[in-house]
Amino acid sequence: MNPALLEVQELVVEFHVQGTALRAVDGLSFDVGAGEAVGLVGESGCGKTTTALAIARLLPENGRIVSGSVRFDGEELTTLKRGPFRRRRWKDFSIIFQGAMNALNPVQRVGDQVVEPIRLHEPATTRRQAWKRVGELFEMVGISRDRRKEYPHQFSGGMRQRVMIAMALASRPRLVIGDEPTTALDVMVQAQILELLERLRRELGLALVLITHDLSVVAETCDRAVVMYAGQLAETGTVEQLHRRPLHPYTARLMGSVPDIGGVRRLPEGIPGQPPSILRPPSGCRFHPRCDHAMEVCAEMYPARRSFGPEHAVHCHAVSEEGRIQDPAALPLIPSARALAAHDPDAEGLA
Amino acid sequence: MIELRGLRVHFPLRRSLGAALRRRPVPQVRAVDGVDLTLSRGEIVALVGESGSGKTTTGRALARLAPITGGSLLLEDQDVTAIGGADLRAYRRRVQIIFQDPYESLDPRRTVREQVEEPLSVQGIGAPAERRERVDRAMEDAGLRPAAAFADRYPHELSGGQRQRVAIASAMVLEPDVLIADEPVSMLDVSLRSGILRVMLGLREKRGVGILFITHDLSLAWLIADRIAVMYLGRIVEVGPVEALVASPRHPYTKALLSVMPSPDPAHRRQRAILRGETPDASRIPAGCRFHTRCPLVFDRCLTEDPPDFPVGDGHTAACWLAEVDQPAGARAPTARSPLEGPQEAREIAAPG
Repeated sequence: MNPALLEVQELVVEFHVQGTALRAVDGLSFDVGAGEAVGLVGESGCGKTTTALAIARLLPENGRIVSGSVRFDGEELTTLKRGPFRRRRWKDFSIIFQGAMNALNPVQRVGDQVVEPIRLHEPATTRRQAWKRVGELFEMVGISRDRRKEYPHQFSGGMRQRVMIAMALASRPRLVIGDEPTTALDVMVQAQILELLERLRRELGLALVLITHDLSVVAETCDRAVVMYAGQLAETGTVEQLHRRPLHPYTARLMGSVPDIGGVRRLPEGIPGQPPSILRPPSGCRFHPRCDHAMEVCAEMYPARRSFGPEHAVHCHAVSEEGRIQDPAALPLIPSARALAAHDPDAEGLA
Repeated sequence: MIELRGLRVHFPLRRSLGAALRRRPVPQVRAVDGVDLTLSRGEIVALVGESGSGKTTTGRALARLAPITGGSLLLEDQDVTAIGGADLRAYRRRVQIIFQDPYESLDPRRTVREQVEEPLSVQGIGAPAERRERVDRAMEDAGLRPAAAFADRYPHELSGGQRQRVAIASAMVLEPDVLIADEPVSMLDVSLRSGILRVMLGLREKRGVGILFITHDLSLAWLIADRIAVMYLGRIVEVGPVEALVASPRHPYTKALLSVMPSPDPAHRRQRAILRGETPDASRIPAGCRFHTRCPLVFDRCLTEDPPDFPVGDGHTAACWLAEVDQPAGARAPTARSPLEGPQEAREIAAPG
C-alpha cells in the first residue's frame, strides 16, 4: 500500500442538540493512499457525511470534533490555524458535496463562478489567466469551453455536476472527496460521471474518497471500502474482500441487500428491524439489536479492531480467531438475536 | 384487465407574448406520446425509464390524475378515458396509487389508523366495526404487525419504511384491483427495500392485485416484475418478459441501460456502453426514431421514420428498425403505424421552435 495521504484516527464527532451531545461519529479510523480510491459506505445516519464535514472542518456550529486526528500528508489538520488550513483545503484536497450542483449562483455566468475561487486562493492569477484555466478545466471534465459564458439554468444536472468537479480540480489537488456525487443523477449520467472520475484518477494520479450509500458504485470505482454503521466502523477491506468474504454480519447483510442484475434472481433478505436512532443509540456494538449473531457482550462493549491481513479489518465479537463469522448455532445468542434468526421478515413490530 | 392504447399526455408550453401575437402554434410537451401497455390481474409490470421519460406521467394518467389528451384507457374493456363523477369515484376505488416520498404523502397530524381509514370514509364504505377490521387487515398485509402496535402512532414516530407501509395500507384498504407504485422504495435505505418489495409480492399473491411498478432502477424491476417496459422520451421502446428482456435486450437503449447498471460484485465490472449526451427535451422530440440522436447504431432510415413495435419474441417487442430484419417476410408488426405518421408529427412540433 502507498504511504497514507489522508489518515483519520479515532475520530469522534458530536452534535449538541438541546443540551445533549449526540455522537455522530464514534472512533472512526481509516486512511487513503496516494492515487487510491476508497469508498466510505453506509446507510442514512451512519455518519459518512459528518465525517466528510469534519475532515473539511465544515461542521455546522453545533458540531465539533471531540477527539481524534485527521492528518494530510503527515500534517495534523484538526489543530491547524484557519488560514493555513484553508490553503490546504484548496491546494491539497477538495470536496464535492451532495447537491452542490444546485448551489451555483443562477445569475452569474458559470465560468465566472469557477474563476472566483481560483483568484481568491491564488491572487497572483490574472482574470485572463484564470478564464483560460477554466476553459482547460471544462474540457478536462467534458464541457465545451464555449459554455463558460452560459448560466446555470442552461446546464443539465449532470453538466452542473461536471462544473462542480471542474471547480474541485482547479488547484490540481491530490485528493478529492466526493459526497454522493452521483446520487441525484440518472443512471446514464451517473455512468458518465463515474467514468469521468475514473479517467481523472488515471490521468492526474488523483486519490478519491467516495462517500455513498450505493455499494455497487463503490464496487465499480473503488479499491477499498470502509463500512460504517451508526457512526462506528464495522469493517474495512478491499472491495473484493468485502464482497467475497465479508466478516461483519452487517457487511454481509448489506451486500446481500443489493440486487445484482444478471446474478441469481431472488428477493434479497434485507436487514430486519429499524435503523438506529442517533438520539438513543444502542449500547456496545450499535448493530446488535438488528444482528442475528448478537451475544451479551455485543450489548456491553464495542468490539476491538481485529485485522486479517494488511487490508482487512473488522469490529465484531462474532468473528472467530481464524477470521470467519461464526455459525449463530455455536454462539451464546441473546434472545432477541435468536428471535431475529427465526424472524418473520415481513413484520416491522420487531423494533 | 387494464389497457392503455396509444395513450398521450401532452401539456401546452407557455408561449412568449410575441409568439402568441404572431399566432404561432402553442408548443407541446409530449410527456407521454403514444403508450400501449396492458396489466393483468395479479401481474406486476415494471415501467422503467430515466427522468423525463414520461413514466411518472403515465402512472398518473392511469390513476386519472394527469389529463389524457389522446388515446384511450380501458378497465376490463370499459373505456374510462373520460369518465367523471360517480364513475370516476368508482374507478379510483379500483385503481390506487402510492408515491415515492413516504414523508410527504402522510398527514403529520393524524394517526396511522385515521390515515388508513380515510379512503373508506371518503368512499362511504362499511360500518365502524367492519372498517376497523379492514384497516387492521390492510395494516397487517403491509407488514405493520401487530396492527394495534402501530394504529395510534403518528407519522413522525415511524421510520421511512414504516411510513411507506402506511401508504400501502391506505391504498390497499379499498381492496383495489390495480396498484400503481411510483418509485416506492427509492427514498429508502437498501436494507429496508426488500421488506417493502416483499409486501407487494404478498399483496399480489393474497389479493390478486395487479401492480404497475414505476422505477428508474432496472435491477429493482428485474427483481420484482413479471414484465418490464422500458420508456424513452414518452414512448415504450421495448417491452417483454423479465428474463428475455434482461438476457437478450433488443433495443439499443435497453442494452445501454443494462450495461451501465453497477454491480455489487467487483468481478462483474461490465463493459459499459455509455450513451453520450443527454435525453432531449420532451418539447423537442427528434423526428424519426426519437432515440436516433443518441443511438450508437443509427442509420439513415432512423432519421426519418418512426419504427413500429416489432415482435422479437414471445410477448417481447422492440421499437427499433434493427429488429425488423427478424420479421417473417411480408409480415407487418401488428401495432405498426403508417411510416409517415411519426415524422410528420415531429416536424410539426419541431417547426415553431
